[in-house]
Amino acid sequence: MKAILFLNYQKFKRKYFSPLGLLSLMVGMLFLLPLLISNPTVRDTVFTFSPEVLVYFMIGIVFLTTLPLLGNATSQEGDSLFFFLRRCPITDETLRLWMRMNSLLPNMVGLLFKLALLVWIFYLIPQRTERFSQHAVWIVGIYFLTSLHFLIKYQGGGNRGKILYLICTFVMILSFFIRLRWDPVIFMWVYFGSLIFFNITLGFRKRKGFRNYSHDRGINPRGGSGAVSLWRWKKLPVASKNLILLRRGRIKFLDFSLIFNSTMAVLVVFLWVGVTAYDDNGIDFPWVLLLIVATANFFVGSLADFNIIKDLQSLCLQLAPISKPWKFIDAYFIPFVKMNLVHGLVVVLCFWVFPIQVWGYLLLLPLVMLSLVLANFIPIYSAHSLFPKLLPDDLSFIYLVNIFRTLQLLPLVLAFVVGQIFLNSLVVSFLIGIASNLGMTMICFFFSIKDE
Amino acid sequence: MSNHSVLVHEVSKKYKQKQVLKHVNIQIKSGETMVFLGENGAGKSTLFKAIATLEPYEGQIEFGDEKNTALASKRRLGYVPEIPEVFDFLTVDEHLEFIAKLFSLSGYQAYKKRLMSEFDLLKEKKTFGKNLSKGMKQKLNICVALLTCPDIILFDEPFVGLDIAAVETLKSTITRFREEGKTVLISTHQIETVIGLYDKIAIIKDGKIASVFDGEGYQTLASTQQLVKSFFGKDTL
Repeated sequence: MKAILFLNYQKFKRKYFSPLGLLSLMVGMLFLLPLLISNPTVRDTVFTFSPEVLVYFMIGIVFLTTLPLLGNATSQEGDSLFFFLRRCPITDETLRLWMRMNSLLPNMVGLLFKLALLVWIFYLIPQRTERFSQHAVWIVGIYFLTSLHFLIKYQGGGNRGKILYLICTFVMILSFFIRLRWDPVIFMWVYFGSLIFFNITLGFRKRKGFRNYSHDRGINPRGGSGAVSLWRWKKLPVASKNLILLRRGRIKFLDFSLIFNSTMAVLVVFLWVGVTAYDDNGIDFPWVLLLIVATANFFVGSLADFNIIKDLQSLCLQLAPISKPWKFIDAYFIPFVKMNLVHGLVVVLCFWVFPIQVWGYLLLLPLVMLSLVLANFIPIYSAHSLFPKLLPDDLSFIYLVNIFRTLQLLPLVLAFVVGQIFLNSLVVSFLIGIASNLGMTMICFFFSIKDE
Repeated sequence: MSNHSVLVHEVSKKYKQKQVLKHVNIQIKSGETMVFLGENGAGKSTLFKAIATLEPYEGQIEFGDEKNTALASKRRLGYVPEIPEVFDFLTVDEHLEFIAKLFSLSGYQAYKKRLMSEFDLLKEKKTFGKNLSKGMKQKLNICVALLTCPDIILFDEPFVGLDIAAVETLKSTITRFREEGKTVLISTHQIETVIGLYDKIAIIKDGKIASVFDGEGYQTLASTQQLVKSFFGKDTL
């Protein structure tokens, strides 16, 4: 384990001090520093070292130090790691664990960041007054960086897209500070415009990349996105095949993300016009709406996280069959944690930010469910249409598992509604929701094991 | 206690439709140096990867009384691959540190320095893997394989890409290993580089061990070329 930590520490160090890492850092600082200086409230609290400021900085530091780590582990790195680990005196189980750790370490940092964001939101809940809108600025700002995080993470090895997105983000931040910040509609269009522009560019690029996959190739058994022979494919457990298909389908998912972003943009303009007419309790609605859009987008981004379980090498090592606990962690547990965190965040925001809490949530709920269904089915459908001979028998199973995955959110949703209406306790309803969701996840897991 | 150091029994390997290894059987005694001669694609590298547990295969491979996958066996083995494996983001020195940590080595610093010095890597100590030439990468892989002081060492085409000085260093290293009683397996198609370095010669052809000869009668280039010609119809491979 010392060796893996050593390896990751070196990787971290190198990426942090790479041109891209330093550029990310500069963008982050460009965003954070002017806010600190221009906002007297925040500036004052900096000097008093309040817990609030500590939270700001913790999140900022975690995020900024995470960025350089997000360059994907390349297949070359995966190959080398496998080469060295396979021959060192460790068992196959330890080998899988270490390879998994190597890919999970950067992911865990990202997960911690999301958790910190959730804690922050909870921390701010009691202060949902005008002050909240000040915090919203920070949240939206960090959301932008999260979005950047997501795109850098899944962009792959090339730097062109990353630089393009950094430019987009930079333009957004500039526009944010050049007095547009008080006009959320313009700000929003700048944001969506750049995102759409980026998605289109990325879409073209990914489509080109997709063609390279259009034979019996999927992922490299030793990591990265290289080849897997049909021989290997046939031997993979169903859950792994499912994940590989989802991974391949992420290219289509970006197209979906584009549609979703555009739809949300239109919807928010509509809501903004509608809700500001009823603005009678002092909440800064434009910011709140922007926050909701950003959160929904964050949610969609994390859905992609859910679909793309990074680095499947441990599942695909054919030298020893994967044990059930690992299958559970890879296929269910990590998506479960991510999905609940993000969904929980959306629900909490909807309940507490909207003045008419229930309708606010119910308004977003169909969108959330729809996005889940689409995010689960579009990739599989598109992957299957491209690889019709790949998995003819297993496809019904894949659909079934994804129906379960979609349905497993229902208890969470119901628990929130019931908890809020009857118990009036968000924390209790959140816990009930998580517990029932975990139950559904377990059912889903055992169902898949039985099927195999 | 078996007297063989490496036992390969009925090992077969298939890549899709192509049978690369066909029921390979061979025994290498402890302290013996065996060179595997064969044309490109004969199955030498696949056999070495199978021995090093880097490829799944059918059959049985043992080091002494233990399977090659046993932890004790892994500790005994050093492997220099045909295509050097390095991490782009680690320096030469960090590669060796990484291996030392993987194998939980202690007191290795002096030996590490000696290896780097022997293979002329000291001045490249802080160079990243991605910036190394192929020859340098090869040297690094040799150092990595030797750092753990293995008693069975596989060299897969070790001389490819090395400069003359490094070839000489490697030759003297192999000679030293022979004197120390280590088991050495070398795969090559460059006959001239291995003359005088072996106890036995195995001819590998079409995925099979065609024959094994005692090296004593083939210690000159001419005699070895004659042997090769009798199998492959040409002097060189």
